[in-house]
Amino acid sequence: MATTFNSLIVDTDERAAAGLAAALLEHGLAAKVVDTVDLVAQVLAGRAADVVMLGAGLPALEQAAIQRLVQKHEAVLLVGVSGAECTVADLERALRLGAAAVFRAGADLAVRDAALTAALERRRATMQVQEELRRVKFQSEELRRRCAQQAERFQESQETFFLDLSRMMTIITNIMDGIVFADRGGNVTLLNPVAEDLLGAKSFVAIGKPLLALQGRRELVAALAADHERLAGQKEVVQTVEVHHSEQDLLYIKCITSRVLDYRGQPAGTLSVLKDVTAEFKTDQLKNQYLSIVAHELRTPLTGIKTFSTMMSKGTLGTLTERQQRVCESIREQSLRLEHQIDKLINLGNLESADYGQDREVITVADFAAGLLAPFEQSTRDRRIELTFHEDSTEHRLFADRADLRRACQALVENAVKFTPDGGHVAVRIEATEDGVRFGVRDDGIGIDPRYQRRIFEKFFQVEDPLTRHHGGAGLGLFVARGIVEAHGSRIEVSSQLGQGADFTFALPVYRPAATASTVEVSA
Amino acid sequence: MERTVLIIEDEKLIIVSTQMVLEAAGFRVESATNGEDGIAKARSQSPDLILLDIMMPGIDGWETLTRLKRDAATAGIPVVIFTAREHARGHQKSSEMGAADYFRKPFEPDELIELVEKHVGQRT
Repeated sequence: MATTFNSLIVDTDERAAAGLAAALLEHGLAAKVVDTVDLVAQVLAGRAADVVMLGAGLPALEQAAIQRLVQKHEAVLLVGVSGAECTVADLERALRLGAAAVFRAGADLAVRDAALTAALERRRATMQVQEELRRVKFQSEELRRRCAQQAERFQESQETFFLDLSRMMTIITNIMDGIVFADRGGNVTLLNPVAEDLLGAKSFVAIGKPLLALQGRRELVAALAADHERLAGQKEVVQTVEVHHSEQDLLYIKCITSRVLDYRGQPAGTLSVLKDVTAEFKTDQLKNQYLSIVAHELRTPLTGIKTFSTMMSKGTLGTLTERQQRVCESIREQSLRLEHQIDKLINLGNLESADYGQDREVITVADFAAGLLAPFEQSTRDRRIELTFHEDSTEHRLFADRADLRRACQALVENAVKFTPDGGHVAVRIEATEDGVRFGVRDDGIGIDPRYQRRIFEKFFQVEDPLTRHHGGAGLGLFVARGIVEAHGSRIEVSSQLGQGADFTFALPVYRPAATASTVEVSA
Repeated sequence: MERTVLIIEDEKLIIVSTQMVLEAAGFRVESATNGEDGIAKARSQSPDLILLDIMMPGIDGWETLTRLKRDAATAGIPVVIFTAREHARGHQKSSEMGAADYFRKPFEPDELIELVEKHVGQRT
């Protein structure tokens, strides 16, 4: 079967060339005849021929030029032989020119066609191989480029990693707190210089050893080892350890131990931060001592004023005129206000101790509610605010810190009164629920923007601009109330819309002896 | 039978005001202005209840309580801690040391009477 291709016949012998073209045409193959190298270059550049047939009569220089063009344009070169037989010289010439085949001008067309077809197939195969080579070369080039990129990235990552590591080590070495890393098995993996000082152990000795085996301050070492064990079920463990520094001196070291996770999120050990809080601890002790004395000094005369004015108001000490009665009641109310203010002052001192709800006992709601609103009676009366109290759970018992719980409720009431306009209404309620008691304080005051409804419980947070605000206070009431309620295992809920008042509630479970038997035994 | 309450308290004003409240409620009131005297009066007069201040010159209320509870003659008398000072875990501490209750000053007269009524017959 004949193969279609375009061929270019280059020969100076016009007759021979025309004869060959006619013979090819008879066989259905198009051929163009040219006789100069320039024309060959033009045809090949235009991709108008796949096969170049080179006549025998061309000078050697031109043959060499055509060979270069054929190579450049990846065409197939056939070399013609003028004689009847193909001589050794013909074959040498063809070989020199890199020809695909040798043909004789007068040969049978079928033979010539077969030679052409075979040559073309070889050309196609060559082109495929060349294409494949180009593809492989491109791929290998791409691969090399990517490898280079990866290597560059790796280099950058490595540099960043070492820079981060160096920064981290600088921080760890120079930080004012002690840092101790331990692996999952509790063996020390890192100890910074401050930790060495606080623990009394040297890093080069400690590394690789179990925490408990460290030779240093026993109290601190034991605390760290215990924290490492305790951390299994918790995210973070915090404790303050009393350490004997010298015969007279004690150090207070706060240990904050937290879990370290590996890149897969699996536990990889613990990090303990050791903070010397001796100065803060001693200041706190002094402050509490001072506040306690101040409270005592203020409450002692107040006890007399309150007791006497109460007895006089009630007529225990004899009948009073109406005017005297009013004066005595006023003295009593003022003493209640003063008592409330003293309690607030003490609360300020206890802000950082977070020691709320520690003094728990079994109390009835009636115990707790008695006199709860007394500090607000006068101020609400002066501002014509209707202060109502509803309670339907008198005999319910709670296991709570009475003083703290009163502070929390009074903080909510004070907040409500503060943000209720003159002539408004504040409703306090203590209601029985299915399994507990719900406390609630609702007002019809200015309300709270939803954006601030969680933030109002933050320390010192004020919704109003401190320079232009109309309401007093330090922004501590709700913060303290939240701390107390959370210490009792509950949470304050707030429901409010701007301009439509607010409703603060929290619930506590009723006391069940079986659940807290051991604690009750102590406090009964 | 007349019921006696012993107030151990260094502040005269507190003694007078507390005495006034309790006497109006029908109690007989004895007082001592320091721990030593208080213990002596507790032994000699065997009151039905002791109201004990904490912050006093000489031996303080905690020490007084310890001695009262250690002495067989006074160990059974219910003691109510009566304080104006903030004490960390005051309820727990007083309970652990054998006090019957913990009461804060300033107080509501009615609450004081209620408390005294509650404990006055509880001698063990």
